[in-house]
Parts: sequence; C-alpha cells; structure tokens
Amino acid sequence: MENIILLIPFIPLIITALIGIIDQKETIPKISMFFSALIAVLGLIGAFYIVYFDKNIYGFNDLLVFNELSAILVVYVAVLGLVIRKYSSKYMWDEKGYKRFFILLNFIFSAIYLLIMSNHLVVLAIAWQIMSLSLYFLVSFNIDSKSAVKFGGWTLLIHKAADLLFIIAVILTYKTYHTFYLSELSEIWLNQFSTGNIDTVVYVVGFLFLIAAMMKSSIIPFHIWLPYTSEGPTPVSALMHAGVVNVGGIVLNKLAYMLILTPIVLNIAFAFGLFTAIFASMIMLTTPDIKRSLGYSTVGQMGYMIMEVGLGAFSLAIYHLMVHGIFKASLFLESGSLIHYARHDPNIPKRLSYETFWEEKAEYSKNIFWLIALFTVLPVIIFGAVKFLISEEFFQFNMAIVILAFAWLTGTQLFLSFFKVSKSDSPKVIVGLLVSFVLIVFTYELIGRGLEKFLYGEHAELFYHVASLNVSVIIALALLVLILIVGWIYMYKQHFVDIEINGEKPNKVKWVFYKILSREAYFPDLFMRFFKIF
Amino acid sequence: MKEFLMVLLLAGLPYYVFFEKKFSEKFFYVSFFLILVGLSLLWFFNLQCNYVCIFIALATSIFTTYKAIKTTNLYKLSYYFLFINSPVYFLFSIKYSVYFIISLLITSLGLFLIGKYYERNYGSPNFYGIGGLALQAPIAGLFLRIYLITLALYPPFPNAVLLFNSMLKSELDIVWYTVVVVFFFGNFFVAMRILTNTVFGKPNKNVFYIDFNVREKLIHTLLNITLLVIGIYGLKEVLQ
Repeated sequence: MENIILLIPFIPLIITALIGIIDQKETIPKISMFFSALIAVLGLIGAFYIVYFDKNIYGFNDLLVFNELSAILVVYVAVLGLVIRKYSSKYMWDEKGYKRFFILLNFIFSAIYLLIMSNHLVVLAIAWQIMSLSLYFLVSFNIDSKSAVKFGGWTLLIHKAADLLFIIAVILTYKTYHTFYLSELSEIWLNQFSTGNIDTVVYVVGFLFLIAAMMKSSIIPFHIWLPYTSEGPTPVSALMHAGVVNVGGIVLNKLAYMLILTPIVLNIAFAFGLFTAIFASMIMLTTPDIKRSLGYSTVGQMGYMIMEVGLGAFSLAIYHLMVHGIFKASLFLESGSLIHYARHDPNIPKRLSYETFWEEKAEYSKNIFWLIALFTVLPVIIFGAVKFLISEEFFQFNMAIVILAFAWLTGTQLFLSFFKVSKSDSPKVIVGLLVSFVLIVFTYELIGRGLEKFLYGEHAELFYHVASLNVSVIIALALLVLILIVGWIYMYKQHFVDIEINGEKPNKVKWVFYKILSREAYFPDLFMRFFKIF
Repeated sequence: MKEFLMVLLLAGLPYYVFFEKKFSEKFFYVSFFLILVGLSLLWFFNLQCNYVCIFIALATSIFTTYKAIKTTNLYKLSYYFLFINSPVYFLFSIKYSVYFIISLLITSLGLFLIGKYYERNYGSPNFYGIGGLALQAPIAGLFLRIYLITLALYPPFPNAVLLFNSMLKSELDIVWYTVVVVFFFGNFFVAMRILTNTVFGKPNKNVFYIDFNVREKLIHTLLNITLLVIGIYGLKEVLQ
C-alpha cells in the first residue's frame, strides 16, 4: 500500500496528459493545483512513514526509492510546485501558450521528482537530462524572442556537457561495480571504506560526477547560463533558482558514500565552491542589471553549497539549498507579482512591496542601522565564539566553521546591502533580512545534528573525518575574510571611483579590477563569440 | 577491400560531396539504402571493422558536422545525420547497435519528410527565413521538435537510450572517448541549430504558414509510434 508514494514522479505526467486533452483554460490550473496538492499530501504521508517505521519504500523493481532524502526533498519540491503553479495560474493568464507552459512545468517537476526518488543510475541519468531539456523549453518559452532562445541555448549547451560527463561516470561506475542500484552501490562504497580496499577508478568517477554537478549548479566557470536566463517567465526564474539549480547538490548527496572514498574530490569541491562564493558575490555587486545581479547571487549561494559538500557537511548543503530556494523563490515571485500588477495599474500597487520599498520615509539616523547590526549580528558572533571555546568537536566537525563562514559571508553581504538600501528605504527591510539570517543560522544549529542523523544515520560523522580539510579550511577562511574585507571596503568606496577630474588620472589597477568584474570576467563575451550557433 | 566496402556502405566516407549539388533530394534515398545494405552485411556476416575504419569514419563525422552547421537545407541535413553518426556503426558491436541505427534511420527519414513539407509549402527545403514554426504551424513544429530532440540524443527518446545501451556493452579506450565526444556534440549542435532557427524564432510575416495535412499527420504519427516502440524496447534493455 505504501508503494503508492512511488507514483509521485508520474503524477505530473498525468496532469500533462489531462491538460493535453482539455480545452477550457480555467480548468488547466485547477487540475494542476489539485494533483500538485495530492503530491504534497503523498509526500507528507511518505515522510511520516519513513520517520514512524524507520524503513525505506522501494518499488518498480527497486528503480525508485522513497528514503530519508526523498522525505525531505519531495515535500519541499511539492510545496514549491504548489506555490509556483498557483502563482502561474494568474500570472501567465494573459500570455500566449498558457497550456504549453503548464505542460512544460509538469514535465520538469516530473523529472525533479524522478531525480530525487531514483535508486538506479540510469533512471537518475534520464531524469537528469529530461530536466535540462524541460528547462530549455521553459527558459525559451517566449520563442519569438531572439535573446531568450539564445540564452536558452547556452543553458542547454552547458547542461549537455554535464550530461556527457554524467553518462561517462555512470558507465564507468557500472563497469567497475557491475550494478546500477544506488542502494547496492552505497553498501559497496561503505564496505570499501571500512576495508580500505578502494578502486582507483572511483576517483575518476567522483571527479566526473562532481564536475557534472557543478555544471548544473552553476558553479564558476560553468555559471553563465544562470544569470542570463531571467528573460523566461517569472515562475520559471523562481523554479530555476529554487529548484533546478539545486540538483547538483542533490545528486552529490545521493552519491555521498562514494565521495567518502575520494577526499581529494571533496577538496576540489571546496576550492571551486570557495572561489565561486567570492567571485560571484563580487560580480553581483558590480552588475547593473538587477535580474542578472540576482542570478549571480544564486551562483554565489551555490558556491557555498558546494563548499559545504566539500567539507563533508552534506546535510547542511541540503538545508542550505532549501532555505535559499525558499528565499529566492519568494523574491522572484514577489517582484514578478509587482510587475504584473503594475501592468494593469499605472500607479505602483499599494501592497507590502510598495510600503517597504517605495513609500517615502522620513530619514533615519545612521545610528539606527548600526544598532540593528549590533543586536543581530553580534549575538551570532558571540554564539560562535562560545561554541569555539566550549566545544571539543569544533575542529573535528567543520559544521560550526561552515556556519560561521556562512554567517560571516552573509553578514558581509548584508552590510553591503545596508549601504545600498540605506537612508531612503525602510529599516523594515534590514530588520527582515537580519532576522531571517539569524533565524536560519540558529535553526540549523538546533536541528542540524538531527537532520544529519536522519539523513545518514550512524554514518553521519564519517563525512567530516574524510573531508580532511581542518587546517586548510581555516587558512582558506582567513583568506576569504581578508578578501571580503578588502572587497567590502572597495565596494563602499565605489561611489568615489576615480574619474578624471581636473586633470587627475584614474587609478589604473582599480579600473582594471572594476572592468573585469563589471564585464563578468568576460565569460559572456566568450560565449557570444564562440557559440553564435544559437 | 572488405573494410573499404563497409566504410563506403556505412557512410564512413563523405562521398556526398560529389553528388549533393545536383541530387540533394535523391541522395538521401541512396545513403539510406547503402546503410541498410551495410547494416545487413554486418548483421548476417558478423563482419568486424578495425581502428582504421573508425578513424576514417571519425574524420567524416567531424567534416560532416562542419558541413551541417553551414547548411539550411533539410534534405542535406537528413543524410548528414547519417554521416555524423558513422563512427557508431564501426565502434560498437552490431549486436547492440542495430536498434540505434534503425532508430537513426527512422528519425532521419522523419527529418527528410519535414524537408518535403517545407519544399511543398514554402518553395524550398531550406529553413532559412522560416522561423516560429512552433507558433504558426504547431503540429509540424511538434513533430520536427521530436525528431530534433531524438537526434540531439535526449532520453527517453530512442536514439539516446539505445546508444547508451551500445556504449555500455563496449570496451572503453581512448578511441571510444574521442568518438563519443564527437558524435555526442556533433548531433547536439546540428539539431539545436535547426531547432533554434526554424522551430523557434520570430515568424516571418512574408510567409503564409501551412500546417501538416491529414496524410502528413498520419505518416509522422506512424514514424513516432515506431520510435516510441523502439524506445520502450531500448529502455527495457537498459534497465534490465
């Protein structure tokens, strides 16, 4: 009976079939919403089953599994799907291709559920590729727009390269272990870890899976598809930033037991993640286009996520991708909603966004902002310091360090936000950002261990031992902090960038640095030049 | 001699360069037929080809990819796909790749028939200037999209699944990796170029778009059902 849960990936296909035969426009969102709600309910029942009976649900010849990871992610994706479909029902109403949009949306959700619930590498590879294809059609939804189609092509090209690496990795895995089943492979990998009898091929396989995951998670230098695909409909942007871009992290979590055999791959993940987190955040601050800026913000967050994987904090990566997904989806949907209303109303609609961002406010004293900062960021720093002093596990488990890094980096970005939104804007924005930030950090600290135990049971602490980055992490983080402080000062002084005034020449180094960042490190130029085919 | 004959029959040499200027439409039938003959010889006589054949076919594949990116003629493109995939015929054992080749032939035939549709309705088999097919002729756009996705090697469409099955059964070496990378991206680039330029894009206001007629719908539906059946078979094979 519990096997009914395994029908979840096929329900969006049922919705697609039903939408295909229905002509009434009003019925399309209703059907879509009803079945999406059904998926959410099934997901919740499945999660309850996993927690209560402490047993995974296998089905379709063990091709699919509903396990601890599925219990968390299916519910998350189902709720996200429900919100996006509800939003799209009104947002897309006046657009051409309403039916086509819902069909494509359901295809991509089906692929995501299949990816989460697959217990077989071939099923995983199929879902991995269908998702990219569906994304391409969604991103290029406005098919008469040249730029939408071109940037959709970039997306598909990078994803196709990821597909090739993934397929080769799958074939190599099969040739080495003679099975496609992830449950069996996990046992083999754990066994190899305990006996120390490790196949060297696993390093190649691990590296291929990592690069493939990084490509689909928009890690630098494979990031260009994400910031440039905001031309698609707003619900697609929300889905892309909250769901699709996370698949890299999800796949790496599914392959976590293989990665314990390859500490060097984890180190590479950390290095790429670190670079992405820094570089994308810096580009984000120099990009004049607000949508692209948001894209780079997501790239930076994916950098953190991969960094966490590199540290062996797999459960933190899952937590991070969900929290970030909720945040970004809300941001996109709210902004899209505002634009949508503004189309119908010449005045900006008087909604929360209006009150928060646009209504003229009396100027506040600068001290208010510093006070807010003091009473919100300071507790986190004190908390971290106390944890550092009392916790014996501090250096053994990198989780706390990651949290501190995450806190510091996010805090730095928030500080930057202060200077970008200050004075004329509401303190509500800053309070909101800071409260959510503190909430996220403390929530993870409270539930983190529980989440780890839930996802990986007795093996939860194994990953941290293997990650073996204790010393290098501290050096890397010190470097990170240094770079961020320099970057922050630079950004703060951005308003005073040298322009030739009264014969004084600008600072060349500053200009070159700024030019590189503002040209997004020349990645778009590179693509424009070499991939004219799209 | 035997090897040379196989290379010639199985699109391992770009002999189309001598004929395509005058006979681009007819040439599809010729290459289609020659591949069928070559496939039968491989199957019934269990012939094996050496690395020289693979290298020649690889060079042909790269050259044809270049040629395919330069043309907008759907007749030419339909047989170019047969040449782009030529290394597959030699690299993988015929026992495992036969279904892939059949699926490829059917997809190319579908693309060729779309070329016929273009010629009949828009004056030539060239897709240049005929953009936005998905909006103006949705049924034709849908079928063309299916063929192109199949050719671009996306699952669960049969080409990708069957090819994966062949890849799984073969021995991995440096030639294998080179060939896989070449035809993986070769197929993808050419198929995506057609997709972005004619299925997508702004509709041409000077063109009167006409969708498939009943006969065309029937033929393409049959071709797609065949692809579906082969795809299901391939999927079953891979998952077993």
